[in-house]
Amino acid sequence: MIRSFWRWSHLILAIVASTVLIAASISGIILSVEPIQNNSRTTFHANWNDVTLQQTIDSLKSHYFEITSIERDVNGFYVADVITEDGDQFVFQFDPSTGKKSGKVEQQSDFYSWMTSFHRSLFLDTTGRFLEGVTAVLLFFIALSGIVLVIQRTRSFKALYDKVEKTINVQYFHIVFGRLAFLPIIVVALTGGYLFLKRFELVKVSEPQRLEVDFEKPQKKLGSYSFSKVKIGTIQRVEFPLFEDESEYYTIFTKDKTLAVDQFKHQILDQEKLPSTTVLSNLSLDLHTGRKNSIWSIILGLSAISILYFIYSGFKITLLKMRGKTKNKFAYNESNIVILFGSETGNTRYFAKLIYENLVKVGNKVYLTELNNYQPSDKIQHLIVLTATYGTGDAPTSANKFIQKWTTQPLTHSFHYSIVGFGSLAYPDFCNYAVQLEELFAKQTNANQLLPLVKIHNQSYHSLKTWALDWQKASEITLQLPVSFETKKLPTNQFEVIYRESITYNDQTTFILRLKAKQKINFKSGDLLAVYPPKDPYKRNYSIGKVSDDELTISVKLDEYGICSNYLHAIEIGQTIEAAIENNKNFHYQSSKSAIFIGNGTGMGPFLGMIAENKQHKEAHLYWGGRNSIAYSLYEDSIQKYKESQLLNTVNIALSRETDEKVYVGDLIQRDGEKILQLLKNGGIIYICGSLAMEQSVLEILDQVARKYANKPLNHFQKKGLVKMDCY
Amino acid sequence: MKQLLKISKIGVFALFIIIGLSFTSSEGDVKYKCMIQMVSYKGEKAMVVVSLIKPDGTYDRTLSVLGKDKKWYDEMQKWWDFHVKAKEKIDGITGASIAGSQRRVVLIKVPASAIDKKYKIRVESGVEDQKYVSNDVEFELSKDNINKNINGKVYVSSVRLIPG
Repeated sequence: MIRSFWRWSHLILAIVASTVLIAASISGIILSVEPIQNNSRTTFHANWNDVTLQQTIDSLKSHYFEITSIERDVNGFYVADVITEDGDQFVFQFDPSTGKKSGKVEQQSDFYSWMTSFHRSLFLDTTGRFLEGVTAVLLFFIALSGIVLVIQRTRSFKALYDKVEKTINVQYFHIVFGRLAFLPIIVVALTGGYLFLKRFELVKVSEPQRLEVDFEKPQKKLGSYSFSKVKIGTIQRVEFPLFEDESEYYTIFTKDKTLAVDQFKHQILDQEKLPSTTVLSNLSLDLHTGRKNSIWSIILGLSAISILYFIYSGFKITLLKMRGKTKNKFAYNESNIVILFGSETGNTRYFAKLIYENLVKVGNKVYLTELNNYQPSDKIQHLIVLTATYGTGDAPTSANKFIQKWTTQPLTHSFHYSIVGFGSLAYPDFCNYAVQLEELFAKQTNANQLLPLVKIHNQSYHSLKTWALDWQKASEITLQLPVSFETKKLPTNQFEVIYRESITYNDQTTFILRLKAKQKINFKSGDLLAVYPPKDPYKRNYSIGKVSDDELTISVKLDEYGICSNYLHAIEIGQTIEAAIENNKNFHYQSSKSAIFIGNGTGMGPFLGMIAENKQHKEAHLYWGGRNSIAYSLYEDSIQKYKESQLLNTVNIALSRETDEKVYVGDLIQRDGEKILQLLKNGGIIYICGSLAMEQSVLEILDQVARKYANKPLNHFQKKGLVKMDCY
Repeated sequence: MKQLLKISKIGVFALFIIIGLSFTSSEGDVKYKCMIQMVSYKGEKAMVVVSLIKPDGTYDRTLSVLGKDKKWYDEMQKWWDFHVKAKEKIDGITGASIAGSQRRVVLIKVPASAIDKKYKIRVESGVEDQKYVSNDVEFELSKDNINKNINGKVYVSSVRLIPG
């Protein structure tokens, strides 16, 4: 409830403020360039600030007959207003150490002046200023509610500036930029808000009173003001006496006070502290405009750019969340199948909806709802639970009341259940909340586990389909998910088959194809080849091994009922297929680092390309698991060649059906754990490609090994991006 | 030798120009330093215009303008009406706008013939989002009023002319 309050405030405020914010951000970006330009137009040395007031006056007096004032302008440059002996007046930027002109006093250009007034009031005068002011205040709360969300997500302040775990891209960058831009945005919002409050006199601002020395009154004893000690950098403005008479004195404005100083003996005649509100509003202006510091104005400009990105990414995330919304066709208490979901970003909800639709389509009475809406009902025969995990192991917002509800009102009749957890292996407590639910149900004898808990990494749709097939088999209720839910067709290319090799053993067929692109395209090993079989709208992805600039190899396992694998298997050399390259940058090979390749079955495909790219002869080891030497024979020639040309240091093959002693790839990892960890600690990268089952067991073993030899969980290396995976 | 002759020729020529210029343009003008002291007020910097007013109350000429941002000029209504009609060039007598509590000294040139002839000096002021004051200070341009503080009404605290 508390979290959804923050989420709703974050969203509603964002919608209201976004229009004004877009205008203010764009003009803000443009305006942030002005201080940079101003600073580049004139020379300025920081040591000028250390010149004394006396030196400054003397140096100016050596060139000019009379000085009427010295001032620091908004950009921090020194400006003199002087009169020459010939009776001409000049105003110019100067060097206080020599009294020489250092630059012209430039009037704000018409363009920037126009832009400033747009930024302040959108050309709507008072209404516009009011809108801008309110938006500044809103921006403050948007930033604040946003950062509260991030803290809740990561559970601690410390983690706030740690590396973010990868989730979906827009959300990932929304969080990353959010952390970076948080402080400058808060500063912009607070100062903008303050200037607005001041403008509308919603905060009391007392103006500094003019110092007028009353010579009739007895003089205060305030001591003398040492012109030869005071540094010019501490002074904002000096107004000079007009003529030689005691009634004319220096008026000196510093950051926090105003002084009247006698022109002959430099006695302080009177002084007054500036009201703190004046100091505050000057500071606000400096911080809001970046006028005193180019670097700060660059930061402000970048923050304004990031605000534009937040508006885009924020709405995109919201749309992603909303796409799962659905209306139930049947009432809850007449439904036999109830799908409960706990969704954090909307992806789980979307998958749940997909299952719902396909179960309803074949005539089931199904009800889809959040875990929090659970009610007991006698009609429930099948309970399907899909849930994400929030942060490091909590229930997502839409599921945080479920455990309590279930404990007080569980189902008491016999029913079947299947739990699917969604999460990321990058988090240490992978699918922790799903595990909790599994334990909760396991306690009840009337709850029959239809399938063991399934954990799905990075919203893998492929894994969900595998679960659906298992569920269909176990429940004997038809559940056929679309082959791919992404029907948007990518731009495709033609590829000619130039080589194929196939092996069959015990009815299992595996084959490799070498394809030559007919057009010039860019791709890397590890990218995906999306193959569109004729007359089928759905694509299948295969991991690419890059053989040369226009040649690639894929490794395919023939599935008896698979449309695509049968299509590819039947293709002859010389024929062409239609396919698209999908960038898979999380699984690209880095030739400058040493590498451990771990895979099984057709997972060898991308490695065939990656190893060939090890032209720098970095340390590289291959671990591959297969059924028997016949399965391996498909790759043997290539691997042997790589080893001979020293692209690979060791080749470690685990064959599970060859002898009585079953060896799996994980066993080999365990055996070489120390060596592998050493490589990882030195910045080497582990690439894993193959089945999900292999991936999960290898990750488990690597985690044990990492704890043993590095005293750290594998997660530590995963966060550094040293473990790259592409499994299915 | 030739060189020296050339330099002295240029020098003499320049001297003639200087003398000529001072006779034609400055002979009839008197220069004053005009001190403008602002009161303390809340708000943006003020625009201030100093003008010479004929005995009949109409504008003679603009003497000084504090405020470089032309988009505010038409807010100074009375002066603006005259300024537009007269098509005066004021670039040389324009300076930055002036903040509350500050004091500024500007040089003004008035025709000697206007002194003690019932001509007046008028100071108008205006502040963004606040008001326009068409007669913040107004006083006769007479020898008596030189070196004397003349008090203003709204944004200007006082004005003083000092022989330049």
